[in-house]
Amino acid sequence: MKLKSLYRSAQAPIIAIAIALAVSALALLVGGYNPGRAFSAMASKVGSVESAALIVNKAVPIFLSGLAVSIGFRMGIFNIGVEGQYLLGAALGGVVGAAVDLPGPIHVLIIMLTAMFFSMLWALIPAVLNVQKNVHIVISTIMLNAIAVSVIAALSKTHWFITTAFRQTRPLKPSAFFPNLNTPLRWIGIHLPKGTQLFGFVIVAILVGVGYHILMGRTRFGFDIMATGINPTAARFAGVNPKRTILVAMALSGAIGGLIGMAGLLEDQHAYRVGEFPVGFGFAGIAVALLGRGNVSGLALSALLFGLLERASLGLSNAKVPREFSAIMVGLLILTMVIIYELTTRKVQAQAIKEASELLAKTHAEKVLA
Amino acid sequence: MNITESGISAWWKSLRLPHRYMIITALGMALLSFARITTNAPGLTAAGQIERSFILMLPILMAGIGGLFAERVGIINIGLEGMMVLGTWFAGFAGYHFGPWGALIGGIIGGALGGGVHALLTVVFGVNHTISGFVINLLVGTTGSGLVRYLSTLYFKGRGSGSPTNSPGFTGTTGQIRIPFLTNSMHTTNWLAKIGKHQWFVVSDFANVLNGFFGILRLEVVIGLLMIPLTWWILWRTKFGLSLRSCGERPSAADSLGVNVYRVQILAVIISGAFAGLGGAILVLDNSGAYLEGQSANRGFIGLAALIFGNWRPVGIFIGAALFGYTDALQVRTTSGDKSVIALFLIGVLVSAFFAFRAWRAGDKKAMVRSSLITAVVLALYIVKFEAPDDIVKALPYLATLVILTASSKRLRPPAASGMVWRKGMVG
Repeated sequence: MKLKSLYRSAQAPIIAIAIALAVSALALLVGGYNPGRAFSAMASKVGSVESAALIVNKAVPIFLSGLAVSIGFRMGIFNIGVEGQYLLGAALGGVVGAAVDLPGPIHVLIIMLTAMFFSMLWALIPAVLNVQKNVHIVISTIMLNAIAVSVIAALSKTHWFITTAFRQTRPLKPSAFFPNLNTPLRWIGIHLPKGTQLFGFVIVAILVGVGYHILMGRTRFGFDIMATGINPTAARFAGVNPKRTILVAMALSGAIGGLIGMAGLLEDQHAYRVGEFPVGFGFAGIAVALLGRGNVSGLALSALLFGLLERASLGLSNAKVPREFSAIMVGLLILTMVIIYELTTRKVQAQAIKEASELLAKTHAEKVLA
Repeated sequence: MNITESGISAWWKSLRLPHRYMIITALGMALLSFARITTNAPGLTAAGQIERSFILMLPILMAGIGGLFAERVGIINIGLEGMMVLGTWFAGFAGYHFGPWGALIGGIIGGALGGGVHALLTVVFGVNHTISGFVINLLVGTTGSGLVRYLSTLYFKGRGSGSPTNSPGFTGTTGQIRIPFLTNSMHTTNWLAKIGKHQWFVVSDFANVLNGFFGILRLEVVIGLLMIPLTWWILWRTKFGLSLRSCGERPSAADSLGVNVYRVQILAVIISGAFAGLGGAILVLDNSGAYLEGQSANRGFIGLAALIFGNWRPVGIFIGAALFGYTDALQVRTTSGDKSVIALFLIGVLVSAFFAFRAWRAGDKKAMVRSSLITAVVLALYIVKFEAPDDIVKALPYLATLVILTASSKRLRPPAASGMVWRKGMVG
């Protein structure tokens, strides 16, 4: 029984991946490329221990972003603003982190809290506008993404930023470095090549994921969020304050969003560099949230899939295919996935209705006969 | 006192919609003129600024009209941005091969293709509209590299000045309508420019607006503006328009009267994409015929904002698009030392003071305090002549979108079934 339900939940993603691959192959053929060569070149880039670490590193921010977006999804809010939120948080985290000098863990914690705070603040703007003035959240968050980029650009002209090859915040002191997991990996016999690290932030991501799971599945607040998402009117009659729920959920989403840029800031670049800091995690998070359907293991798997595709795309240039092609593969994958989810949901619903009506007819017939 | 005031509001309510629009326009002009003179910021209504506004308004207007067709039939379309990007790409491609008119048609086709995908997902498969729109944007590549980057690498790279992020471009325009004494020309004097030079209160500003329009009257501007009456006529005066709007209000009722809801919805969403694509093509024509990645710069979304601001009506969308186009042009033209942004603060003071006054009259204390606070802050900015950093000035269109949506989104009525995934046989 358990195996059967596992098969059923894996069925949709597998079909979607197969269709997406087929359409991608078609697109490659149209472009005059050899799909077989392109896919095998992609596959050749994954498989080593090194690439496994890099895939996980890539998946960490995307997973966190997926969590931040999913909180909104759960209550029917389409929050596109995670992108601006995490970038603003990371930039200000970098500024504050360079300005203070504290012992290790506290220094790291201050930077993380700063980023979370400003990211939360930025997420609260569309929430307040929506609750107070009924402003469409999709539009306001997109505008705020663009405004966040401008704010960071304006910020980078101030004395908090210095000029190296880029405009960047002053480099962080080693006390603000987040430890990586290379040493524990060595203890269990896995040796990463020099220059490669496994982000210690994986631990943070896992903790946040567990926290999300407990909050959504085991607490009153999680239930309120879900109830609001499924039927706002019913939720209100059950005593849920929809405005408050929106505000708290968006604040929470923003706070988690603040963590997205932290692996890059504290473990990789050790400064916020304009034009060099990794962007796009906010949008990847939406894609992951759509694939993962709000459940933690689904989100983690989707984030890893994204990391895998990102890593594999490095192989595309060996087959002379433009690297951007991986973005098309991602887009196609999500496109087929939402269609297939929709179709399977409808099939399941139709099945349930049919079963219920048959049961009803049967009991009715029994009554008549008796 | 109260009697006369309620008299004003009664008079306002008795007016027909076109008259209200005219009065709003006239008041807006007076406001601009006042701010221009008191702040000494001639750039505010300079003919060049107005000319840019007309061009930059069009993509937003087209996206807004595109959104109108979609939402009036019940389908939310946040994929407008992606469809506009498709429009820019196809306009760049077709323009390179077939010239300016090819670009316009190419843009329409590109946008319509995007609309077709949205129709397939939302109408045929019944996917959530917002999700479908987002996926289209993602696939096309509004948020980074995507389909357009791949296509550009295939078809633009290595041709002339083409690269993975821009098309080679073409020379030539769609043409220009010339009217003696109104058009900028070497042979005849431009009367409007003459009046504009005098800097008279309101009169010169009006002359400048007309000069900005007639001075270089491009055909695509005329075509774009003609879409407003055309849209109104299609939606409110034809049978197709009636069935289209009925699908967006009560699809089941439309269905029971024999309207093929699916077919009307698919058609409307394709038209919606075509409009967004046309907007993209206009951007390409304005960029001397070259497609440039990121060219649409969220204008598809701003078009949606114009749609909401305009209360799902063509002329309302036009006013919204004009506002956003104006700030867009201001953002492009403003150089440091320019006083236009400071003059905007003055307008902000007057408008928020008006809101405070209205709230006070209505007895809404909370709203009055809020509006007064905003008035005070903006007034302070005006008095200290706060010079916003250039990067913030660049964000003006986005800020304006937020502010205008916040100030206006109370008394709106979207189509009743907008956003509903309707299936035949369903109640609704």
